[in-house]
Amino acid sequence: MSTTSQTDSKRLFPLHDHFQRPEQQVDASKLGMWLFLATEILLFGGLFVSYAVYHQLHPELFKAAHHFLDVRLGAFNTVVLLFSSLTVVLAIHGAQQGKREMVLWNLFLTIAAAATFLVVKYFEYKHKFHMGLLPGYYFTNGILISPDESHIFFGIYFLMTGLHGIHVVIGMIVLSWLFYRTYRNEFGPQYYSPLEIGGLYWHLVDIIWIFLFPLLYLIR
Amino acid sequence: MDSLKELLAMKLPVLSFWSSMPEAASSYASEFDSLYYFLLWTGLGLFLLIVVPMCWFVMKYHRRDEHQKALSQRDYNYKLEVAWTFLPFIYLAVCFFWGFIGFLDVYTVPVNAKNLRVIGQKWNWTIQYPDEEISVSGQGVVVGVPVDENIIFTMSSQDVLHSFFLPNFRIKQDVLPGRYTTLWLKADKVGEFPIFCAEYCGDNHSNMLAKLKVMPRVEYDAWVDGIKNADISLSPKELGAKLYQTKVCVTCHTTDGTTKIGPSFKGLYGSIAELTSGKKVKVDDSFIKEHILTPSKTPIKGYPQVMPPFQGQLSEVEINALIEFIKSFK
Amino acid sequence: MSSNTNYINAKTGFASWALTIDHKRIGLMYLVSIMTFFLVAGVFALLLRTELLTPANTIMDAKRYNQLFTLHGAIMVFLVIIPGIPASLGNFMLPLMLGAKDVAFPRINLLSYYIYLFGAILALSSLWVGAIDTGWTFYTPYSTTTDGGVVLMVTAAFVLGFSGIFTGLNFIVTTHKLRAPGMTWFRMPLFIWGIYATAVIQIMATPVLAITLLLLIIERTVGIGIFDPVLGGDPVLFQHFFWFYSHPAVYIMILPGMAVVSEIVTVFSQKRIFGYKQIAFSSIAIAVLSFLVWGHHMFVSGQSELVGMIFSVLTFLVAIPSGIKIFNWLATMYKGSISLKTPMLWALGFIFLFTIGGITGIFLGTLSVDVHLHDTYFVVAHFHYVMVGGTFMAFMGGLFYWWPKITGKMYSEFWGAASTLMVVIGFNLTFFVQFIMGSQGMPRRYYSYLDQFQIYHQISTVGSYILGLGFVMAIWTLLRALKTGKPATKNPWHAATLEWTHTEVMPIEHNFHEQPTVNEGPYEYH
Ligand code: HEA
Ligand code: HEA
Ligand code: HEC
Ligand code: CUA
Ligand SMILES: [Cu+2]
Repeated sequence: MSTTSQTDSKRLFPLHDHFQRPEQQVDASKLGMWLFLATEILLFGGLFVSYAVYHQLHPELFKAAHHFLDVRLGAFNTVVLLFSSLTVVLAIHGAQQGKREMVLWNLFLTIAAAATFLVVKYFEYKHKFHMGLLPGYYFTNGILISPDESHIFFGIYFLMTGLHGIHVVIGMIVLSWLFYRTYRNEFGPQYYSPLEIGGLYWHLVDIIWIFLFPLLYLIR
Repeated sequence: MDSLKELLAMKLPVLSFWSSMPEAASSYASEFDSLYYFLLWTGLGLFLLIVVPMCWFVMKYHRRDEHQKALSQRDYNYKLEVAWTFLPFIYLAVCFFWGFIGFLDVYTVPVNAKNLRVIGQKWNWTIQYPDEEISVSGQGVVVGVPVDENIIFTMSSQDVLHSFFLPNFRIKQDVLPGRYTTLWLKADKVGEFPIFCAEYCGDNHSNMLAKLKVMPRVEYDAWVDGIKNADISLSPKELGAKLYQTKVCVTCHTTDGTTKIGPSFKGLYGSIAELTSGKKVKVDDSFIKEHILTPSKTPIKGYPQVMPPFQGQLSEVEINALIEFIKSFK
Repeated sequence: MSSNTNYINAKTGFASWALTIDHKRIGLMYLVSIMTFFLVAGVFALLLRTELLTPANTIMDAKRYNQLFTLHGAIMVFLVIIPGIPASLGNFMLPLMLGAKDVAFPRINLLSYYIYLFGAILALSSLWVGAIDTGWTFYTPYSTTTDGGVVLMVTAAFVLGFSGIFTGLNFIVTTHKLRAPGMTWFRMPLFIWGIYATAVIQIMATPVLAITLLLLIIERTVGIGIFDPVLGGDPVLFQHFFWFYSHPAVYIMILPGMAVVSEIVTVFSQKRIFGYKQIAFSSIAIAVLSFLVWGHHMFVSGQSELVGMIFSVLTFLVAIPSGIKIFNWLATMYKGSISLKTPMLWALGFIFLFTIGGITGIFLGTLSVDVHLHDTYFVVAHFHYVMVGGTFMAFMGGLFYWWPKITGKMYSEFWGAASTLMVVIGFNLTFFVQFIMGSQGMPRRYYSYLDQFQIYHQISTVGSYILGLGFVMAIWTLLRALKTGKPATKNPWHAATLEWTHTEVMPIEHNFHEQPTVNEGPYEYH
């Protein structure tokens, strides 16, 4: 369908043949992405509502249980993600100016940040697994016996961070694919909308974490 | 299962085939009916308001030859649009307020009232009478209440959602696990009225029936005495046989050696049961008692773990009676 | 270009279908799948009705009955009526009516078809892996404790949700960005407005369903205690989540139906549609209001009276835009030149039956009345009147209306009319008596019942056989046209929208020989 021209320096616009003008195609894909982000937010919205309901029902439980999360690790991860949002912006900026090296480096940094985030998350999870701080039937922690429904907090914790984690992984795949396409020299000042769209998605992943961090780690 | 057959033959008296509503047994129910019939007749009016012009237009403006053009291409009329946007508001406001007032009647519990407790469980109702110190339960159980007195039901569920539905009183309320809900009524007619479970709760949902028996006060007192005495005068085995029916052991256990959902009672006493853990235990008095109260503690191999716990629903006397009953099927 | 190439014969072979990104072919693939599942779930319905001939065990036991009504409801809702009109007719017609070559994201369109298929296979495989018996509403804690393929069915609904989201997303972007030159918002056919409003609901409500179902799956597998009171959860919360999606979902079902009827009524009256803007905006109004009324399914669930009151008020508001549409259709017919071809018959059937369904919805929205009617056959009758009498009548009408465009063949008017009549009669016989028995207190999801209801159940069962025969006849009439139908002309109904005026008898692969431009409204009959 797409007619990508590979005339080295000037990247022509690969216009799909059901569109008439390049702007139309760019606008369409951006609008599509924004709508998709809206659905993502609503998806997490359901979890935020459950969080709110249970926080309301059992405030004491949330207070007691959140001490078992490591605020320093959470804060570190927040910084890592904020940094990665910056690098994505820089990558797009580089594409606009036709600086391929800059795009590649910044995408690489973003992917590295995402990986760091996941490694930290791995250690956090591992610690919880060891302590038996798990949802539902698997909750076996002996220290946190009162209040007696503490497992609900960890249910919500694992759901929210788990779903977010999946998004991070998907984000990494998208970013790697963008990296590959940049490497193949497909983007240039005329055509970089996949980068923009991928960047939007990555910002969403970041923003959701910014909500999760205080909700889970900084309760009072 | 005779009791069930009898139950299914129970009548919700209705005046005729076309009259919609079952007999009203409380003053609330009669008020309800006026609203219902109001909706019915106005609804019919609205329906005709649409269908009659529709048919009329179809006949009048029917295309008679192929090239016939429409008589007009007018596509807007301000007054009409305003009318059919705003006039319905008035009608809807009436419906709303009328319905809301009735709704408050259903859920505003009177102060002076007799309290009954209702426990829903797959698939039967238990009603406890705190004042009289009796309780009745089972599929198709008869729930006696005195006429012309306020009765409050405080309801909860042992397992899944159920719903306590009394069509003759036009009331219903879901019964939830882990929370209490209430419903009240004041019957002004003597008679028997069906109680349904209206929230889907599994295999025997449609058999989770009971009967509300409204009686004059004197008769009601006699009914209560009857229940009190009945249990005392029965022999343990007879009481056990009765509980076997009313506590619905019968839906899962037979006494003739065939297996329904759970093991048959025939030859059960004294046999060796194998638990899911592989452990073998002798079925003696204490095992039976424990299994009835908390079946999940001693799960039997080869059967689904569906037997409900009877903890808190059976007295010591009743448990003994059940054991004697089981024992009698050698 | 010769005029006998079209989207069907342009390419041949299995791969040309399986890998197609032509919206018309994808629409057709949806149509075939949806109709197949409709027949399957329809047969389930007939089995249910047959069982209800007697209060005792007629042809199956209680467990099987409960599984069947769950499957009937779940398949009809998630596989048939929600994708229904948008994914089949919408996919086919939307770009044609807008003057576009395709939808905005053709590949995503194909992807969503395969997601749909995958979800469908999951749902049906629950038939073998221990059928589910929770009802289509999956209420907790029953659904978290019963055995059977709950996880499978719920996963299926979850997957199907994504198919819907992608389709909706595609339609919204297409409508915004791919309209032909000169096609302003108010020159769009009303079908597009309806599909657009539907798509908006679909992408806003479905994610909430997805997360709810995910929570349910996790509740069942690890017991996080969100919904199960034994673990400290709240079973009513599930109902809030569920209906927050599933009420808007009922408008996902009806809006496309209304959209089809809007087209048919004006074309078969050869008159400009009355109140174009009112009809267009009422679709949007319905879409917005639909998010605010979910609590009317829970008046007796134990939520507070105040909440009940608010939901009742909002529920009534939805009646107003629905009424606006009906009144405007009537005004369109007034002084028109009305032709009673089959599509128009289905549309008239729609108005007739949907009005009954809608007005009985008002009964249910009235607080105290719903206390009595909730979970009785009255509700069953209400929703079949709106879903079968409403959406499905419109769906059939739309199929007959666009059949010449889709297949290039004319169907038999006689058999078309006969099947419409059969459906309307059978339908009323089946479901009208359900209002009566419902108001007398017959609860729904009952495998057996008190003897006094038997006569109603028997009438209903006989009616359902007639109804089934009617649908089979209608589908047969359409299929026969493929073989024996007369070749169609380009614009047999003298319609004025682009899919009729600017395409070949059957559209070519890229829809138009050249980009159409638009300089007047969609309903100018000269
Ligand atoms: C296509 C699907 C569809 C549609 C369009 C509707 C439309 C409506 N529904 Fe329905 N409904 C369902 C599908 C649908 N419903 C389903 C599936 C269930 C049950 C789910 C389950 O439990 O399994 C249900 C259940 C349901 C309930 C819960 C009942 C209960 O469980 O106790 C209620 C309560 O308020 C309700 C109300 C309404 C109302 C007010 C409308 C309104 O939108 C109707 C508006 C239309 C009109 C009113 C007619 C035309 C208007 C006029 C002619 C104007 C003049 C009229 C007046 C001024 C009144 N519906
Ligand atoms: C789009 C949605 C849709 C559609 C189209 C239908 C169509 C039908 N439904 Fe269904 N129904 C639901 C959605 C739908 N239903 C839902 C959501 C529920 C609630 C489930 C729950 O409680 O969880 C329900 C529940 C429900 C019940 C209540 C069960 C109970 O509460 O115990 C009944 C009972 O009569 C019923 C009947 C029918 C009938 C007779 C049809 C007919 O219209 C079907 C007609 C179609 C056919 C018959 C197919 C064609 C026939 C053949 C291929 C075979 C050839 C046959 C002959 C020639 C006779 N349905
Ligand atoms: C919903 C079905 C059901 C009901 C109602 C029910 N049971 Fe059971 N019962 C079972 C099943 C299934 C088993 C075997 C599995 C288990 O629970 O471990 C069982 C096991 C038993 C056993 C142990 C049998 C053995 O092999 O040792 C006894 C005793 C018993 N039930 C007594 C009763 C009594 C008394 C009642 C009524 C008061 C009753 N049951 C009601 C389903 C039921
Ligand atoms: Cu209990 Cu239905
Ligand atoms: Cu609703």
